[in-house]
Amino acid sequence: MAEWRIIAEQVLRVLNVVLACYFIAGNGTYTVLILVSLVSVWVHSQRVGGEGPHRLLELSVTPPVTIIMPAFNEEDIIVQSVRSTLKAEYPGLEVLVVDDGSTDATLERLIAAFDLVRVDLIYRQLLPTQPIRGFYLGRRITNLTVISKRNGGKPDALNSGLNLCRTPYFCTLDADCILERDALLRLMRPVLASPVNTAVSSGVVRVLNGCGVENGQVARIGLPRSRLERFQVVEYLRSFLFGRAGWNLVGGTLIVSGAFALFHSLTVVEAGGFSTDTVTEDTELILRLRRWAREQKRRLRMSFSSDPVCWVQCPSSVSMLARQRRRWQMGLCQTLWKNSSMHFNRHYGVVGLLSFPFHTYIEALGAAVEFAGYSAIPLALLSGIAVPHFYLPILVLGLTYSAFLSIGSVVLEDLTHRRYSSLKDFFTLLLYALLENFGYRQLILCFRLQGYLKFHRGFRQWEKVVHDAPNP
Amino acid sequence: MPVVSEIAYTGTFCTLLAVGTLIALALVRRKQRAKRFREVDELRRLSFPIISSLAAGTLDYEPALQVLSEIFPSGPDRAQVVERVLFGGVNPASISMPVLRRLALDFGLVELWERRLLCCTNPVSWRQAVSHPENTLGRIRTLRILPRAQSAERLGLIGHAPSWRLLVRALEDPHPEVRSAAAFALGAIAEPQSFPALVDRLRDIVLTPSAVLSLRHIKAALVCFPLRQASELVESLKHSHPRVRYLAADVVCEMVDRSRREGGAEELPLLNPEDLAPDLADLFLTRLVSDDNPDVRARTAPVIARLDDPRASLQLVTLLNDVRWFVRLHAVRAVAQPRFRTLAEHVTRRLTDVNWRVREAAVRALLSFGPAEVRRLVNHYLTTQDRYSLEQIAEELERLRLLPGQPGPYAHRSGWGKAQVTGRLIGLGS
Repeated sequence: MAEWRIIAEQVLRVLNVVLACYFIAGNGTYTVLILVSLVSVWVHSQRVGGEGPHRLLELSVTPPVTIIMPAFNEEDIIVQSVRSTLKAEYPGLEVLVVDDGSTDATLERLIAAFDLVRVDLIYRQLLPTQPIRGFYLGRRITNLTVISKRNGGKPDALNSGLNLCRTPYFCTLDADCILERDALLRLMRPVLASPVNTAVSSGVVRVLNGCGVENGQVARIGLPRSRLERFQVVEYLRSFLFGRAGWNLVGGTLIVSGAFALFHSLTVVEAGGFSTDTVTEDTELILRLRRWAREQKRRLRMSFSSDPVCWVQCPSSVSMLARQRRRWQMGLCQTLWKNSSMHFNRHYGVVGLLSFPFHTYIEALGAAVEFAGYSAIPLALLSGIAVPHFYLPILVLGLTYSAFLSIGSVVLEDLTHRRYSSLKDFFTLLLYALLENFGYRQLILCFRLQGYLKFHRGFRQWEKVVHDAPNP
Repeated sequence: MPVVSEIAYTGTFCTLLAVGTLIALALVRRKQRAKRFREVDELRRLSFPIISSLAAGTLDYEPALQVLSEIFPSGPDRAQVVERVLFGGVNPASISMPVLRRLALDFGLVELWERRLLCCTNPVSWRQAVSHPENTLGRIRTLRILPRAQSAERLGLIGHAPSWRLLVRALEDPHPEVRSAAAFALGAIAEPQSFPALVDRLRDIVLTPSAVLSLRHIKAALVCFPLRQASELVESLKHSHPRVRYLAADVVCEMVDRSRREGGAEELPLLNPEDLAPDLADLFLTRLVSDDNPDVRARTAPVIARLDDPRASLQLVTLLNDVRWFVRLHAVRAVAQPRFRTLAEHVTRRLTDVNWRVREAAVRALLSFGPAEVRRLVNHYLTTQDRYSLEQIAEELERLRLLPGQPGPYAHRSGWGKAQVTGRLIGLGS
């Protein structure tokens, strides 16, 4: 018995060291990211705030763009989403909706709402996809095309759209998203400014829940009523404003939200299009593009800007949130595993040496470490093992620091873009940034662990997240 | 181990302090912004009716300036206040440009912007700045990129031509934002003397691997100049580097296209010698049309198609039969106007081109030529054995929304039966 106790105490000590390392590495990186982002997002917001992107409308060098919108069983929101997308301000904009074998009335609603007529177009399969059922063109709206195909998942739908895309750039947009009118122009700005070929340009995804929508555009910005959704608002701010902005500045972008991102068509086709063997095709494509660029000895740039905004409906129930987070975690693990050759590989520069290991150890494996940390206290207490006296101070520091990071992102948003302009909203967000660590974070941890387990079991299935229709 | 606990508690305390500081910072900034916006709004409320009257011509400039001088508080930061009122947050284009330009000059804004730009035109390296303390302040000033970028942008916005030299120097600014703003400003001002400097930068982008200017920005600036300025690209068009030749040809091509868009005419007007210098036109017709670089050849087609020269058609036929598909594509697109219906036979040959984009462009070109060529297209459609060509025509008719009601008129014009046209479509599965 005594031996068992000694072993358990030793294990607890080792766990402590692991937790301390995890804490220092994770939060150290986050601290650097938040400092870097604070400067870059502030400078960027000041710069674009005064300028406005509208001069790009008149430039002859602004390349045309196709928005590819995959849709599967989105009958409730598809018409509104397409209407909102067609209103985007952009010269030479094409909208391509891919109905991925919906079993509801998604296609019928599109046909009725936009007066579509079935046509036969030549389908050149640059990328392999499921068979096409038909093409539809708008009688009055000339820049709208709808593809109906057999179900093959989101990457397959995106590949179908890419096969029909004729523009040098395309933008992926989820069917439950509302694009801000000038978001595409803003997304194109870094592409035009870059001396190097920009393969990917991504923007910010914000939570639509709680906002008022009129004529397919966000007319009133507000916070959602439910606590679960409010926590997600803080999470999105943290993830986009300092996580991605920071990595972008050091050239280590690894994650791009496929809900709203601009890609260079030819580069994506040459790299093999969207892969169907992971459930996060966006992140997988980013990593593959990086590998491809290295193999082909091409210089590619991936940019992130904090001003192009796309509003997305976040899950409003725990079950839907669980599905989403399981998928994200599973997809991240799949993608990192698939591209493990980049791990600490100096040939990939910042990505190989910093970004990839960070996403592996802190983002992917962090869930397991955090779970072990939380489990240690009750287990130790139940088994009568003395918890090391420095354990609790470290836990308190960890939670406080985590709250600091969330509060930092809320403040960063307030100092720069300030979409939530009322003081009440600001304080509400601060409160939720603080409370996030007590309950919500642990809930997300459970879903991440489930995703992790699913990855280990070799799951490939996409769990569909059903969203509520936006507020009128 | 008590050290660990102590560190953890100190860390927690510092974190809480940082949280408090951040929140305080956000609140102070909110308050400052609210105060500043109130002041600016008040100044706008007082000054905008006068500026509007000035723009409408109902008020003389001098007395209006006098009133505005009284509205804007005098002091060392008056220019900044006026700048905030006239340019910050509102669309300055909503104010009459000549009025805005005069006000910017009289309130010292132009001087302010030029001063800001001037501070960084000859930046020293950080190493020099550290080794020579007198340079340190100047180097630190280069970090303030926003005022410089905005200054360049605003000089372009009001079209202040005398600032062009300074803007050309700003193309060497340490920060890319300022460089791009300067390039756009030079395009907006379109001062003829600044054109060669931009052409030099265009060349540098190709010839100097470390060049950090955006090619698209320089191109966008060059395209803003009037077409007659293109003669200064002759040297680049004869350059030994194929990419320099291509970029120069591309700029001329875009300038020609822009002049068309500005004209707004349905039928593309021919370029006269005042628009495009004869030696430049000659260069396109003789040398560039047979350039080694296919990109250059491709770019010549849209320019040649606008030349009033008997050699133009012959050269376009050469380009229509080029070995490279994208040269043929550009040529087919360039001839897609009724003036070139004499080339219909050559375009019809492109209906069986190996590249689908060329086939597609050929169908569109024939449809744009007029009824006789539409008949030619239908004839080809009914007689050809080339399935790719058939598909392409059918797709293009569908894309142009011509199919549902069209087999009838096509059949009528071509002399073939409606049933035959429909039969072929059915054969294709349409």
